[in-house]
Amino acid sequence: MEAILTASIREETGKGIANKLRSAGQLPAVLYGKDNLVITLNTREVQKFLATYGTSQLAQVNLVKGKKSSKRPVLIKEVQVDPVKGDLLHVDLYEVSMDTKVTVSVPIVLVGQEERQNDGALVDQLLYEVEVSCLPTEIPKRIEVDVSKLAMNQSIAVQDITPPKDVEFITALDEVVVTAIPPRVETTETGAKAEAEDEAEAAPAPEA
Amino acid sequence: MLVPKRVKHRKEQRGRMRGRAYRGSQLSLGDFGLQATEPGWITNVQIEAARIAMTRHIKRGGKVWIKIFPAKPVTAKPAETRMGSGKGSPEQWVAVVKPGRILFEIAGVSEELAREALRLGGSKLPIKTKFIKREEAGGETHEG
Repeated sequence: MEAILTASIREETGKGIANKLRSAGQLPAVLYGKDNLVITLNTREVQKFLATYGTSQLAQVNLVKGKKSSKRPVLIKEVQVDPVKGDLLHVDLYEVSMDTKVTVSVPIVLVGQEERQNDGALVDQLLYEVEVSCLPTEIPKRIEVDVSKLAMNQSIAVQDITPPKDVEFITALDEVVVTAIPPRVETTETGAKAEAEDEAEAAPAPEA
Repeated sequence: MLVPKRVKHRKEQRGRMRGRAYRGSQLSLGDFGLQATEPGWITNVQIEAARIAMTRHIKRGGKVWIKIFPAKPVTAKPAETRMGSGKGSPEQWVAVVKPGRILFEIAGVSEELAREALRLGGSKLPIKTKFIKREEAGGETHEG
């Protein structure tokens, strides 16, 4: 099921126009891939889409220009977010052709953490997204990595994961996805040592 | 204590902290983080105090990352010195932080423990901060 985003083509560009659109609940965006267009989206609609599908799923954009409208398959190529408020600032949409492979980043999700025997290890996920190449209709929603049999000091790399059918990994195969590391223990001894270090190093001025 | 091994210039001008930190504003290593909401200088002593507060609260397990480094020397003149005679001597090292910058990240602990640890760590810092967490869909939620 593909989500539909409604977009209208805009003529005006620039910082002032973009700020006006944002304050009116609209989101400035661009569409490229086949035609290069400057468009406006509805901020709420995009927020809902991102919360449900993330940035790796195929969407349909319903492009409205006057009385005409046309649907185009798109991928979200880039999302600009205000780093403090978290508000959406701008979106890049990439028009894809349905018979050409695309490269997208798909989220990695760890499963089987509950079944894992409790050996005290810390399951440290190092890679949160993996780049895949596939047809736009075949993009997996997520790549699940089973960590139920992951022992202490062992790791799972990209090459250990079986990709879904018709999907190829682009990320380097030797890149580590998840590792089980021994837990850090804060003993009273190290605590005292840290305190002593803290006192000793607090006084001197930097030498450089 | 975090100190640069070698620097090109012993003394630096103070500079400005305009705008927001777009780089280093997303969680990269951990599941929870402490994000700056205002600009400021954070000294290596403050970073160390925050680290100690966080690791002591977590006690065992978990992992803490420090995502800022105090690379800027700050000079000061001795007390009761007349003006002039050149710039003072380097006194401390600071990290220049802009709003949006992730300061610390934590993984391998529950949300409640991470939230409290980061609150304690944030209380050692001279700027306002907020707790953020990673979301499964790929986005991040921003909370107060």
